[in-house]
Amino acid sequence: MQYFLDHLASILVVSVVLLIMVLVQIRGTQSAAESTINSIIFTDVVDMTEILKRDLENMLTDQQAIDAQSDSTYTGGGVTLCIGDDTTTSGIHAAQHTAFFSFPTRKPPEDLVNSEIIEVRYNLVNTGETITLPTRDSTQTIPLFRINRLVNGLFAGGSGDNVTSFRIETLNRFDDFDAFNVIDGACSANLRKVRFEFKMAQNGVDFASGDGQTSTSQTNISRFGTTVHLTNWE
Amino acid sequence: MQETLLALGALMIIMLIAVNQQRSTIHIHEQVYVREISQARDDFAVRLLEGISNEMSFDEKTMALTDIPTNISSLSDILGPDPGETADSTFDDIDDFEAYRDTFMHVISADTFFFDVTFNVSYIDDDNTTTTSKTFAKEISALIAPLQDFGKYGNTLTGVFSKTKVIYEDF
Repeated sequence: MQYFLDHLASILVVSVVLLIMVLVQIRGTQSAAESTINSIIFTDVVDMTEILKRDLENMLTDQQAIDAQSDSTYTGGGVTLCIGDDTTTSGIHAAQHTAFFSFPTRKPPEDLVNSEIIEVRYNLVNTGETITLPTRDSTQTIPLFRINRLVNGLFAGGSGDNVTSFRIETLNRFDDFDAFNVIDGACSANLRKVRFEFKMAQNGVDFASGDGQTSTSQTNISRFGTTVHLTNWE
Repeated sequence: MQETLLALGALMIIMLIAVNQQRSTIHIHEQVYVREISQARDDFAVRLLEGISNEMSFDEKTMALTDIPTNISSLSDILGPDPGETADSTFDDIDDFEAYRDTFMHVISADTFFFDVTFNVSYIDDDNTTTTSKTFAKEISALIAPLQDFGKYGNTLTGVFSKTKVIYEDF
């Protein structure tokens, strides 16, 4: 007992130092986890962008698809549909989503000589799961979606189950430069530009750090959008 | 006395470690946010220039022609808005955007960003360099700066991003 009393100051200092070390370690682990999650979500966004961009750049007009049917197995008859849907809006993502987007195109370039006309379709599917995201001063729970890519009706890839927003906008020839909009139905024959945007989110760090704070950063969210000029439609 | 000094030294070291750790975390968050604003800015830039090239005619003086002009003298002598054209809603050809500056709102996945945009339009020659001589190709550049305050890292974005698009008379 005498020993502890003699070294009370030292023991207190060591305790404080150890406590701070533990807190720093926990905070460091939290930060590393956030970085990894951010890297994962950004990779998902880039992957999905590449798929979408490639498909859209090769998008054919309905007439081109119909004309090419004589030497292909395509039976769609030209189906360029941009379907908007506002029934899936919720929470902070109160923008109109695109429920599905469908268009004819050709098979990949390696098959170019005898490439078939195929129908590519993107479906936005509700996974039934939700995610809780931090907002400026609280949190909000929103549904998670998946973007399915279908070729001639058969599943051919898509995104992970972490899409929170998906929207395809179109712009017709000579439309006002700021008039990109979601349409509901067949695309216009004068379609010239297609813009897509989506947002993905991954469950973040849900444990509290040593000082009792949960992570409120938005490093587990990534959004991307770009506009594609349809050279085939000129 | 010696113990006290050692204790103070230990506390100093641990405080430095804690502060550096916090700084590192903040740095990571800032970098992520800067990347997000960069992606939104890139999206906005492409959308804006693709939209302009889609809507606007190549030149005020040739927009009424039914055929693509072959005589260079048929183009406007001066790049810039024509009389009565004061805002983008009244512009009708590419070079009306010369020296035009405005604030634009961009919404991506229900998140809103604001950008200050300054346009520059010039003729370009066969070597893709700007020229004062009239040609059948114009380059429109948009100098884009985010209006939100992104602290130290936001400054690196301000005024340095320029997106260009070349537009030809027969586009």
